Amino acid sequence: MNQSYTTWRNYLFNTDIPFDDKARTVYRHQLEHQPVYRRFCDDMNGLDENAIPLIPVQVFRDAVVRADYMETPQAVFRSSGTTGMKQSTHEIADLRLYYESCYRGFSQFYDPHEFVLLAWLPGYRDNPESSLVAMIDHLIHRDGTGQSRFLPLDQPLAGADLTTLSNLNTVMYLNTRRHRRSGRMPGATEKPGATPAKKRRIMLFGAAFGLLDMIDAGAPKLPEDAVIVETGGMKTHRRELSKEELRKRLSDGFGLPPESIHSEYGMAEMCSQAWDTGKGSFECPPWLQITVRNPENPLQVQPDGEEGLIGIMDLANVHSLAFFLTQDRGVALPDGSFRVLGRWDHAELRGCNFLVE
Amino acid sequence: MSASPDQISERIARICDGVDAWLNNEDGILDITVDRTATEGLFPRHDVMHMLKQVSITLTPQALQDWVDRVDRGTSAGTMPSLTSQMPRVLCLHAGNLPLVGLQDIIATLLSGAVYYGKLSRRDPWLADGLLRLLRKRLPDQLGGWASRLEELEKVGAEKVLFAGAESSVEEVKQRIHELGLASDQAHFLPRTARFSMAWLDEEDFQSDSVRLSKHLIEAMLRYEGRGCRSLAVVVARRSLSEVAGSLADAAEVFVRRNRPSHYRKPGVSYWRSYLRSTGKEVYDIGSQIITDDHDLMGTEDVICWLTGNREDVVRLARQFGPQLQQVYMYAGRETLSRKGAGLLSDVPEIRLEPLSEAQSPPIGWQPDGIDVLAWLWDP
Repeated sequence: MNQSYTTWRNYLFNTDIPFDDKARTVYRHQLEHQPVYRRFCDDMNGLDENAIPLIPVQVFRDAVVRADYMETPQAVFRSSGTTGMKQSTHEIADLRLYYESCYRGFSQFYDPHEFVLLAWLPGYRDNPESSLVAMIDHLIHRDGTGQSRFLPLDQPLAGADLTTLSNLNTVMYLNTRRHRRSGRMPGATEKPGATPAKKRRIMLFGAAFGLLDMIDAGAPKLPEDAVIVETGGMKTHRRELSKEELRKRLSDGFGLPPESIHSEYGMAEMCSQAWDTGKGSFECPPWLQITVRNPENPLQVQPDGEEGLIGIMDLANVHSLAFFLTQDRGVALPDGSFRVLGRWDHAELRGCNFLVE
Repeated sequence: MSASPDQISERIARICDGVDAWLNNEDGILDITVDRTATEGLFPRHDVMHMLKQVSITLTPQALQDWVDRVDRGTSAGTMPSLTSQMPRVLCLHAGNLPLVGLQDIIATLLSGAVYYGKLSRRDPWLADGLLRLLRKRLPDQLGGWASRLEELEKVGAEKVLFAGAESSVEEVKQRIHELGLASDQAHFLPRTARFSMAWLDEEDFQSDSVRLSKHLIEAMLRYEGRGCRSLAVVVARRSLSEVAGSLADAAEVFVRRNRPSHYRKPGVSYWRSYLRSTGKEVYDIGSQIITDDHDLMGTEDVICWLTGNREDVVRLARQFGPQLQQVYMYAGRETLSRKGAGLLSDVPEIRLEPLSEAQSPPIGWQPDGIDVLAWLWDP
């Protein structure tokens, strides 16, 4: 299938087509148009013809990942990295596909019109090529209320903000939705007899380390129906904190129940994201599939409950590389969700280890 | 009860007698266990034979006495450490292979005067069992018991526990051992966390005898299938991989011809090899392993990383690897090592320099993780 960007968008987000069928189509497309992926697959002798190999995520750093039909990318995302570290580069051929993937994915798990989005992303905002910033920026722009925004870095969050935001009501919310259908401008007065007004909830996005800093700086308690979405970032800043501990500290710090601490799993190399809506594990939109792979043989999928490397099949990456293996340690759960357990240390497989035996 | 020099000498004599009996195939035990080990695919016969040869060279009465003397000199009191009235019990949780850490743990436990209990490695149940049976004949009071499964061990409540494992696994191991009543609540644990070793090669090393250097490098990389913490996994050198690839490949070919690997390349290694090739990185086959200049794969099983760098890179990496690094090899004899490596790792005191030629044939008193196990056992 060598079609226009529009055709690809329609195809990838078509929920009537099973994931496996779409994955195979994208695989064939990438074999034809992604030279580095083709070389990798060609080199893997004795490959099961049904297998779709995942290439190491380092390919985004080590090679130019560019489909042979793409001349100029519409956007470029780069991973965060410490000084001297080579960053991953993800060239986006079709920015609209990226935005649609983000928004549709977010909408799978949340009603965007129910929330006002706030984002606190120190360390990311100064990276103009951050995919996280691009994603949240798009979600903010899709919110017709005009209240969603990035928090200024010198004024993270004040009590007055919260009062204003929590007094927003769904008159605007309802009108915004209607506006999308009717083309009317939002903010018009609701007719008598309309659904009773309901306050919008706050959704605060932030990298884990930034949210913790915000608490340390004396952030106000959030309204009880607010949601925190932590977007990872602990590994970049090398702070050792388990997921449970992080959740507890955020929950205590912002005065929210633990189930209101949500997470997003994404990276510069992905056009899609997985979401943890408070249950402690991530779920994917229909065009993204996560498998956990055997570190000793990444072609093998680990049984549920067994740790391994997180493998990505992100079909929205159709114009870059859709099938790759991360360095993240994860575990798949029987309900189809997955947990992220940190970074994989390859050296653990080396040498003698009593527990491994 | 203090251990007098005579008692130590007597103990050394009995240990060496047991080891000699083992090496001389007393009761036909060695032949049987070597065969089982090789035919069950646990270790290739050539590795077992190499290990036996090294044991015969390094495990001598003089070597054990030197070890005791070294520890004795290192004690703060300056006297032979004393033992408690009751013989302490030591539980050894063996993992991997007997030749290096496993053998040393057995010998050190007996040398210390403690009673040995062992959970044998699933990868090496036969050779250790044979040796232990012959040692029990000579030191019946010191050989408590051993088994291949933890659950089969007597609830001995050991005072000290030795085991190999990642730092992250320590609590899990402790909990399991306590649950089974194998160690006392106050037991001391010595986890071995080192995973691999590194070598530093200066320009002068390449100028002397590159064939001999390559031979030593390949031995350090491929012996025991590159699995132990003494195996060479990272090389920092003044010369690039492409400059030495030819001589390394030649040396590897000779090694593999004499020491056929028990397995062909593992799927995970083939996977990385394909990746490196597809992205145009340097990668060469050496036996069932690969060698590459991609730094990202440092520590990956069966992958050896070659970095073109200098002394500062060695120090930086030693710090980065931390407890995962066993030691740094240099191309020097033991007598010239300290001069050649002077100042190299002075800021990283836990890392020891060792001659490259001793990578897979260390003296019996070598120090896993930089810790002298005999001193640790004697430390109350």
